[in-house]
Amino acid sequence: MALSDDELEAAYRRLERPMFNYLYRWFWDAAQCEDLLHDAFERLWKLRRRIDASSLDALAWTTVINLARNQHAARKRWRWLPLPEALVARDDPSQALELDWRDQRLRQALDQLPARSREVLLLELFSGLERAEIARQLGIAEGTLASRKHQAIARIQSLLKESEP
Amino acid sequence: MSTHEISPDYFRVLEPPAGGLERLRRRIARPRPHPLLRPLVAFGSLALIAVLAGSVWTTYDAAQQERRAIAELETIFTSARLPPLTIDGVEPVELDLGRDDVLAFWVKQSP
Repeated sequence: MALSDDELEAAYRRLERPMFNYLYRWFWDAAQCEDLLHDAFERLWKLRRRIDASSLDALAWTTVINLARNQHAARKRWRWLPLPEALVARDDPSQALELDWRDQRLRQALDQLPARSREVLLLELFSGLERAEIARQLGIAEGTLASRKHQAIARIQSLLKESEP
Repeated sequence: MSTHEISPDYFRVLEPPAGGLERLRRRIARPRPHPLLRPLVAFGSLALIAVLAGSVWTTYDAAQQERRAIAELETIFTSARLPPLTIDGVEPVELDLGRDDVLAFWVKQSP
């Protein structure tokens, strides 16, 4: 039943890239995304005695999705606070110099999507999970997932078109 | 509608920062307080909070008592009445301060 260090490391190597890409389209900051990813794997490591290797990937995704949700909600909750200049600059898409123009347009478009649609779209694009597994992760029916995905794609396409120079 | 309909330029797959696994290993290996110390730390924190609350209460209580005592004294001073000045049971009708700074009391002659 217990998870070995090797199994955890193998899971990290397997999931690092898809999870990083998923998190990056939420927070647009590589260091923060890695920090969240490490948070998730540290939690799994602490619970390794109770985790079965076969359920590790699903559990890792659940942890990452929840951490991203919490972090996103916390950011929205504290948005009214006067932040230090460095943080404000990082939060403002127009000042994020490390992003190219496509990333900036995508970021502005994704920020206008409802969080639930954004979640569906990003998981579909980056997780590599089966549709049924994504639906299970999000606790919704497959039909709901399909309709949210359809709406998200239509909306993102129209937002990207609107922002074309 | 499929995700392929969005230009892949927008959702290109990025490489995570190099050395992530090594950083995770270091993070996991970082020493942490022993789990058995947790109840002790929790109890210590509670005790500290209780001591702080107690000291705040003591200061507050002393200030309250002092304020009450001052209010009582004020009441006494404003409500207390001195008996009228009399000399041999007779109220003076006139006061006179002499050049030698001697205060003279003039009383009515008793009938």
